[in-house]
Amino acid sequence: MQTFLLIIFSLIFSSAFAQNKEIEDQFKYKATYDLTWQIDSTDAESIQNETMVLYMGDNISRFTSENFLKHDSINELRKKNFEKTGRFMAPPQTKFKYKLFKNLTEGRLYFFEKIARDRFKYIEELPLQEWEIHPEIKEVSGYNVQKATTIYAGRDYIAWFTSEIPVSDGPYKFSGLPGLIIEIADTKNYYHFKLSGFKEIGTAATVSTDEDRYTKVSKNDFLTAQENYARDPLGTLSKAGITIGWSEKEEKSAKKELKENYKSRNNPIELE
Amino acid sequence: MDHFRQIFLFLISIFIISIGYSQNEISGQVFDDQDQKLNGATVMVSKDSVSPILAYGISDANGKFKMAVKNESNSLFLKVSYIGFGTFKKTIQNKTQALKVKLSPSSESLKEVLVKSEILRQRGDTLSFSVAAFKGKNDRVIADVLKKIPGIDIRPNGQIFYRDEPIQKYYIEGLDLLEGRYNLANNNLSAEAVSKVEILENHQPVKVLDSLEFSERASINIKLKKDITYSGTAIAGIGAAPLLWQAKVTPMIFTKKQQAIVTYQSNNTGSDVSREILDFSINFLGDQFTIDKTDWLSIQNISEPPFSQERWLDNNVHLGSANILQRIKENIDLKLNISYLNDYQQQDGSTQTRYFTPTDTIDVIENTNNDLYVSTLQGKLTLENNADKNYLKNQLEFNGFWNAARGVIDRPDIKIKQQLDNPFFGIKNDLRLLRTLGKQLITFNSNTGFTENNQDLMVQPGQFEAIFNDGDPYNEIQQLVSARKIYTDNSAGFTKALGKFTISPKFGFSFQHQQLDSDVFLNEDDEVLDVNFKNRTKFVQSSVYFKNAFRFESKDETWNLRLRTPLEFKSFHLEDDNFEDSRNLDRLVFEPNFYVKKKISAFLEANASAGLSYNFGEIQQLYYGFLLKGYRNLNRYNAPISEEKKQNYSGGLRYRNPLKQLFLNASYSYAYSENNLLYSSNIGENGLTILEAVARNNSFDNHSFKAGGSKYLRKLKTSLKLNASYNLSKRQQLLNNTLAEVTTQSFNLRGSVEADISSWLIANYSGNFSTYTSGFEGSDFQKIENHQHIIELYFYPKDNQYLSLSGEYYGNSLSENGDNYFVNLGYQFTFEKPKMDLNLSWRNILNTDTFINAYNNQYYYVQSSYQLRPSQVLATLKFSL
Repeated sequence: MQTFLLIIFSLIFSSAFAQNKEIEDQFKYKATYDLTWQIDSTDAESIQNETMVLYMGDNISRFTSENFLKHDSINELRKKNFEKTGRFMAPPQTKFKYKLFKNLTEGRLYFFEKIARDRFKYIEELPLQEWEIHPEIKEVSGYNVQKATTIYAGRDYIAWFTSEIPVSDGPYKFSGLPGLIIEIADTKNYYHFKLSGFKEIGTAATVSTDEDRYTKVSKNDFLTAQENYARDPLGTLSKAGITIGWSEKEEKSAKKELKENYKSRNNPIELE
Repeated sequence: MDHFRQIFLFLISIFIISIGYSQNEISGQVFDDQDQKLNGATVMVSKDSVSPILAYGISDANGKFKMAVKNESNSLFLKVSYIGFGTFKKTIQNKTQALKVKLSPSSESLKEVLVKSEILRQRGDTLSFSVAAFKGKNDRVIADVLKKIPGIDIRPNGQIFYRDEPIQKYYIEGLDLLEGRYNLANNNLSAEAVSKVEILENHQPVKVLDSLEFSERASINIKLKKDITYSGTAIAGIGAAPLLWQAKVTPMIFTKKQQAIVTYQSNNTGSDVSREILDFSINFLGDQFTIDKTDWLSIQNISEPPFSQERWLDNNVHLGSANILQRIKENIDLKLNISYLNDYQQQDGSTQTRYFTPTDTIDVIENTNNDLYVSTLQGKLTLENNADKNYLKNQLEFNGFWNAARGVIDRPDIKIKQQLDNPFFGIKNDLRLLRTLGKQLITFNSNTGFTENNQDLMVQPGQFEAIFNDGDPYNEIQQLVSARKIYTDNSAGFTKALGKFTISPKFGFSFQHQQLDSDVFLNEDDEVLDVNFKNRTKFVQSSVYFKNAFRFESKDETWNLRLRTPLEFKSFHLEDDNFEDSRNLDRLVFEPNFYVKKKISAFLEANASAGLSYNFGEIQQLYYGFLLKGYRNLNRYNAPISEEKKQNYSGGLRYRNPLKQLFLNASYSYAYSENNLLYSSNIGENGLTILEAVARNNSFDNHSFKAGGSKYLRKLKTSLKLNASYNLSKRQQLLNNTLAEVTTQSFNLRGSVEADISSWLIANYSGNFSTYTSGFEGSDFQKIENHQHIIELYFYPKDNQYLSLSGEYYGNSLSENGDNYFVNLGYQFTFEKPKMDLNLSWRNILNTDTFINAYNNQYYYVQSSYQLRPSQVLATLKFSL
């Protein structure tokens, strides 16, 4: 018995506390985008929308959903509230629980996301798109913009960028144009980002990511994990220790429904 | 990156050459006013200052850029920009050249914009889904539509999950009519009547707690099309042979202030009607005291087969349920949920039991034929005031059972009749109150209840002749038991954070008074006057407690600690008028419990726990005089109040790799308990057993090992699972007056394969192998192996139909004819017009008439055969009202 406890405790205490590495920069500008997307490509009624924000510094930019950011930053506030009352406040909701950092100096993109209980990150080399510039110009959200097209991750995109904001950045993983992307959508309009606000930030915010909580994986492994979860949330749950009492008759229809449910969440932004 | 850029330029140059334009390369370097290289400056050329951009480049870490210009214009307009610097503009010649650009800082800020959004935003945390958008052509009731909403899953028992968490509340037009029994609405409210489904994410149903207490759970609100809605569904089914029926009708009405759902169901197909009224509500109230039905006496039963009751339960059930809600004032609701169930069940089978004692083996063969009559009335009256500053919920609940059973035991030599009346009545009131006191929120709970049992068991002819009739046969024995219980439990508590730790103390007191009276009569009116067969027991338990819990979670979430330190003063007082005796026990008990979890790496986690707990006698093990519990069981506990001290330790490792879809876990747990009472069984001829408690210290220990794993094979779309467990326990027991150390060992191995062979075919296999061995001090006397294999195939030839086929095998090593085979078939077809589901099922195709099973326990084994329902075909039709 004692040996057993000893083994368990030595296992627990053996791993040292690792130091957190941080990417540091100060954000100077904030661009806000409205994102509309269609979760089920076969169902035009399944359109949803969310506000996304792009913060830009000299070297690093961060792209997240606005609510996810609040979720992150509200934690401090929630903690304070908790200490006062012993109770937690509810965080805001988002469909996009990723954080995406672009380090334009070193030409790398860092992608962070939590799937079920696991935190993952992967790194990609920038730029990810090859752009073709077109002569069409127009005005969008108050900026003079020019058209550019690209093919990225299985979708054809039309982007509108402005040289009035000389930052080679944009929403999601898009970057590499001579100016900020003001509007971008795939040709089927499943994913559509449009700038709704741009401003200088009065007090510069420091960027930090506690990388160590995230396990570094290849992008392929990340996509596999994501798909596994989407395909079989029940299985993922039962592996986390939650059991479900199946009954013969209902198992049949439940299986079919799960399949259909999976089919209807068929429209990720990156297809390949 | 440079590499990439080279390829990029190379590709562009190929492109340009193929078109045949002349191509000029403009390169250069960008510096700031301090001659520092600028990275990320945008460099563009156009025909003139207002034309579109022709080519562009972005300066790299050395400030260098390169552009290929394919234009025949003589001059170009160059623009170089960088945030915080003035834009460099210059007209240059269209020729291959290298430039040096210097930017000067500028305080000119960029143009800011704020565009008014044209998109409708989601309101707060509420997501709204239009039913018209999600409704498919085959959807009939609201559950069919809910399943399609992203994030929602409905489990086989009907429980609704949103993002893998069970939902908290199921509202219809903002009113919580059904509490946790929402299956009733979900499976019967026509999708046609519903306009919208709202998902209230992170919903806090208690308004006082809103913005105070973190809620991870969502609730669902069903919005109806009309102010006054009538809806419902009906199911009718018929089958053979013998004649089978199944009927269900569920009408409902909803208005702004009043709602009602009524259901009536009946069948003789073995189908479980209680599924519709399953309660999924999350209970906040303590469960230390309940008004659940307790049985003192029983007739001899046969163990039920391990598969769906539709294949073995011979029933005739009727269920009626009514749910009514009235909104009295804003925030104040009054609800009544009431249901009545009536069932008549028949069981047929036989059992062969062999008892092992240190000196002997005893065999009993019983053919059993039971008739069970169930009649149950359950009700709940709820008053809820959900105001902004305080919360009150008062729930008055009652359970009434008027159950009876008749059993006939056919032994080779004799026929024994048993008749049991076991009515039960229970009523309780639970009050929960939340109030803010300064900045602190305090929770009060008060639970009070009363239960009453008046049970009566009659056995013909009389048993235990040596005890009751000097060894001579006699006609009849009757056991009467009357038991009453009254309890109250009251507590107040709050939660507080202290730095990184959280504490949640709770103070309270409880009191329970129980009275047990029992008498034995022989041959109708002949009362057994011997005090050894009478009980007039009064048992009073009271306690004052202070419960506290500490929690800690490290910031990086690698450590998770929990320590519970409940301290309780318990007082027991037992009195029996017959024996003119009383027993008292006062104990201050401290029951600490510690749990720690550590994340070792991204996928590996270790946990350990340790705990100490005490158990004290309940009235079920505290009476002085004998009770005839069943026709061949006589029990009494003429001993001090039992005290058990139990230590628990456990440790485990868990490996979860979601990338490789590999999941492994292993755990070990050990329990050791010390007892002041030893149980003595005297097994006589025909299995007549006398159980008594003897004051003698003894111990029990148990080791348990578990390991399991699962792996998903992506290419084969197949998941494999394997689980194994081993259990070893040792306890002391007096068997026919000889002290024996009984050891039991069990081993279980379970495996399954689930394969999605194609979009129209799913195949599953699951297998189970287990062994159970018991013995006295090293000499094993029996080992039973059980096998189980199940293969299932699901075909989906078209969207509106499916076919299922299953084959099953059950077997054991003990019985001679212990092989059981089953085949079942099911088919469903959905009609579009009129909207109906037709379901056909053919159960037990091989017409296997009995199920043979074998199991063992510490010192006996049982072989049983259970009479199954014959091969039957049932057709049911489901439609909306």
